[in-house]
Amino acid sequence: MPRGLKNDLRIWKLARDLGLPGKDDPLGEIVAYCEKWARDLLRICSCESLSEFLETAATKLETTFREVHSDDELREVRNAFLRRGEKEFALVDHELAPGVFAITFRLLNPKRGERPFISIIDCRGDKRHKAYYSKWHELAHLLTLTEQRRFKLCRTHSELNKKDPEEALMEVIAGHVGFLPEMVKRHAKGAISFEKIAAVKQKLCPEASMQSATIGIAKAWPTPCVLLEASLEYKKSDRDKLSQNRFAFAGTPERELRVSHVTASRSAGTFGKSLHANIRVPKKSSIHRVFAEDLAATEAEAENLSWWETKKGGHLRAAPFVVSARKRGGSVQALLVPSAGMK
Amino acid sequence: MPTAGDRIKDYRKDLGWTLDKLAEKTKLSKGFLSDIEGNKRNPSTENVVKIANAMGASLDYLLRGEQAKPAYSREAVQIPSTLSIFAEQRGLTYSETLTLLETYNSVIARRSNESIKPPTVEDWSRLHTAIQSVE
Repeated sequence: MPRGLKNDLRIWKLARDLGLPGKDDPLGEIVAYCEKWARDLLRICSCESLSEFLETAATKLETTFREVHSDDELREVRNAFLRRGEKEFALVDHELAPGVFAITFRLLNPKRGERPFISIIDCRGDKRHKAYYSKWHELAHLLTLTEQRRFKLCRTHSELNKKDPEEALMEVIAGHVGFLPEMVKRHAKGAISFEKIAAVKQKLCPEASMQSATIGIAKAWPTPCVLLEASLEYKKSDRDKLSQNRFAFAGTPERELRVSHVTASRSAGTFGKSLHANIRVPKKSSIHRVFAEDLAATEAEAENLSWWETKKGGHLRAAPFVVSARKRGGSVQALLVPSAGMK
Repeated sequence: MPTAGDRIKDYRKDLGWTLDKLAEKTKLSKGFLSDIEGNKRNPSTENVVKIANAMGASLDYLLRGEQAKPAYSREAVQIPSTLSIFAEQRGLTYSETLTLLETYNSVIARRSNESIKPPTVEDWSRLHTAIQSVE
């Protein structure tokens, strides 16, 4: 979760616009608001899969998804809407620049019975892998589009080189609602494994990318677990010094295998909070072995959190767990399941 | 007063769909759909969602007959300074300026990994040129 998001003024303002208290945790309140909306919808409309739920949510939020898979298709969509007097499509090809994955327009001249919004999902090239998440991102915008904001200048502006807090919030909402625990737990049985995640993804949302599905499903898994990704990184303090070029008269530090991303299931309790980004992976851990020996994967192995060193040179509190790891390009993904009784 | 059934029937016919096709898409029986369209049965919200899903129709419209709200505001219009400069440079009328602003504002969301900057005079110029080229 982007740093500072919890205390951002715009997040607080959005919470208030949504009629939420916006007191101690506006971010949590907004996410809970969106999850409640999703659960309520699920109560009214039974859905077999997350893909079906996505379509139902789009219907409820009055948008139509239009995927474009090629430049020609984008041109066709653009021209078709322009012929209808939808001038906002004049620059759609320019809007869908390389770093833009989806865009939602409010139709200026909707036909009778037509949905007032249309979300163009860019599936050209590698962008197609992000389509599922992009759709939920666009729905998150519509879900939090309050009457106060509906008619205002709704394009979000941000400082250069700083990810916009509202956009970051939409990613958080997409991650929560796009892999709703109520849906995931129908198929998530027993201890988590990469194979089970793949099977759940296949049943619920085959079009989602493996990366987003692994994170989303692990987070929603009903039993305690932690998914972590580790790659070669500098120690944070060294990274800061490097960026300021403060190693002029000393040896340059070396990169080590460190945790780059942690996702804990909601039921992981304190175990889920033990590991954090940038902590060094112990050399005797199978996570390290997968990386160092370039193994595709390891069988589940018993390890202990006490192997992990803290920044101050101490060790994490002892907690036995079972870990399975696999190589993913230049990084390692690992699933940690606390041993029975440990939370 | 048209009912949900009437609107479903009208929308389906506008699409050129048969009842068989709607039944196939919604996995609801043809007889059941016929009863809904003939106002012999009141459809549940869940079934109207299924029908709206299949036809790509507005749920609000099918359920309540509410048409999408037009994209205007009763609030005071705030014209960004860059648009104001551009409008003055090009000699745009107030109405033309508002059309440009309305068109710009119709983008309500986008997923991007890049920061989004406020529109510059050049951005307004590009949008204006693009709109003119299709008019």
